[in-house]
Amino acid sequence: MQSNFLKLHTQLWGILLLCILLTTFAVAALAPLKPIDQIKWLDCLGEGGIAFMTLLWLVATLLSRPKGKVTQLLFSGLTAMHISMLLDFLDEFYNFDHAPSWLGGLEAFPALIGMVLMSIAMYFWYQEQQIINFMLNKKERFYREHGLTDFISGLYRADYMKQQIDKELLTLKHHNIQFSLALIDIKNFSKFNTKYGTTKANSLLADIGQIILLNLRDGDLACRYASDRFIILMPNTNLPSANQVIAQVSSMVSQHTPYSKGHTITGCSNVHWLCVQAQINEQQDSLLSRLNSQLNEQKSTL
Amino acid sequence: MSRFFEINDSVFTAHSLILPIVEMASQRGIAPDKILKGSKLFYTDLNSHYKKISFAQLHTVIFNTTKLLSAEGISFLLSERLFHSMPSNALQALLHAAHLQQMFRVSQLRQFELFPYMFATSYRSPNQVHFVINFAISEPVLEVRCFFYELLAGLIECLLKWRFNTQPKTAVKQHKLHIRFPMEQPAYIEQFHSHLNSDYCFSQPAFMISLESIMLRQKHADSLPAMTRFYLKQPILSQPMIGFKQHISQLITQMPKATSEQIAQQLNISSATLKRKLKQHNTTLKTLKDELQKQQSLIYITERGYSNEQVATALAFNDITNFRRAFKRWTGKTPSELRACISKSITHY
Repeated sequence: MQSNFLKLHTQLWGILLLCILLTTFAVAALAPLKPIDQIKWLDCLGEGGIAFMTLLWLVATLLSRPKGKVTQLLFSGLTAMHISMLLDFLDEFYNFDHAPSWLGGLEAFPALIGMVLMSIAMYFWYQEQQIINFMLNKKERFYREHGLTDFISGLYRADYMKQQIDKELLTLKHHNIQFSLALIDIKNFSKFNTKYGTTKANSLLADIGQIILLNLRDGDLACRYASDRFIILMPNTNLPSANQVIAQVSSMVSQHTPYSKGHTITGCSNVHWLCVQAQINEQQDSLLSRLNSQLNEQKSTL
Repeated sequence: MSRFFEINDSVFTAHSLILPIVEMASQRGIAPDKILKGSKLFYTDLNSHYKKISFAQLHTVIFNTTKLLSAEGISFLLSERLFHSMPSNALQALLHAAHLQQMFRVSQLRQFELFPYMFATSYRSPNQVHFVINFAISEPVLEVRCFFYELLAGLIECLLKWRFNTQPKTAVKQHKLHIRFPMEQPAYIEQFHSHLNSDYCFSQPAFMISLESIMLRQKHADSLPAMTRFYLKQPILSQPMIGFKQHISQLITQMPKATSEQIAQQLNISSATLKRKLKQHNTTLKTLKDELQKQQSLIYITERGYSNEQVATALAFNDITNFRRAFKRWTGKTPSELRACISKSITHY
């Protein structure tokens, strides 16, 4: 995935620049300048500010989105709005009364078209978001906070999971709906790390994260815990069913064979795993330390 | 007299700690200049073999790291890297040691090469050995202190894991350490869960690692002590040195009642200069004296079960009231409150 869309939109950047220049030159050519003492500086500041902000939104849109229909619509709409605002700003310096009458009439018109285009863009954006939400299923529950994403695996971090656990603990307390947690620990991850390097190890973490996601049920949530551990929240699930789900996940993960210089690496994706069911009146931190110490215990006896 | 270095002396190689930090940060989307901000270091410096850095610079970089990447467990990841990148002669001597006690001695002998940032003082109680660990160069700010606690705990964990991985698992279980962290339980507790196999607890009055005495002299089945002696005899590239704070602390241990003039005399400087230097290292002579006495009294009370009279005598206090008042100032608790606390936690277990 490309992380920077700056170079992707060269054509659109060109069109934007052209529109701005065209507008400015047209106004400069057709309308005479106002004398200095007629310029209202406060209006300049306000209208200039508005024009600048629409330009900023345009840039942000182009920086954050890949090519496509929604991007084009957003771009066209915002550009049209920006031209209106720009004309508004320029009429503080140029006298539109002495210019051809269509120039003055043009002032508000692009904004209207722009807003219509933006509304259409919003409709498609909504549809696009529905599809993305579907893809984020099992990675996210009701709440989006990009600051909590783990950079290496692309999943949410433990902090996100803690919030969700708190929420589930409340549901357990008030409605007595059971939930289970699972911890998955990659066997010999530090050896893999030393042998193949951090970059390879990081991509192994990302891969395993994805495999876990694929093999969970709808409504389950997987996050990266720390180091080589993943944590899974299974709402409305008792311990036996949780064990069943995670046994399946772990067998799928252990099938994974990453490539290094054309060769497959086997045996690096075996995992330790453990499920616990939350008890009523248990606290989030004691639940987590119970889960971890039980897993450590299990690791040391194997 | 041993040589010592100060907070602004450039004595460390940049690639042992800072380079991996910068690398890990950029893997997590933080640009090198943000991590290096304020340290007067450039990214290109880090690849130079000759570039030396000071503890002050290291402190700045670690402080930036704790601010920018607080929940990422960089300290623990760094400890794994550090373990693999330690100078080979010192590391070999350490790994071939006959038992844990010899390992500890090697780590003291080769402190500058292995981990010059902190130093340990060992204390014995009837069944256990306790290593009280303090900062060697200057007293860092809280965030950086926590980073170093985690770094050292992770490093010891790596070392023990490496040493005992070749032995049957039952042997590993016996080698459980108990680590007491003087910090509050952090929000990123998951990093402790995932990286530390030892027992640990938080909000303790001192950074202390304890283990059973019998473990200390238990011979490692496949150790080669001759190799340790061999590697210790190999020439070292840099003169052994200790940090400024460690040096002063050692002088205080030798002369507990020494005045600042007497300490300054040992360093061939005036007492005003000593005071200025101590301030530069974020400490004072009184703080260092208190630190030592506080830790000694903690061991006496919690581990050896001394009465107040015995501790007061051992620490050369004139009377018990004075001692109790001082103890309350150091730890926030009176000796009897601390005893009650311990007996409560024992019954709790």
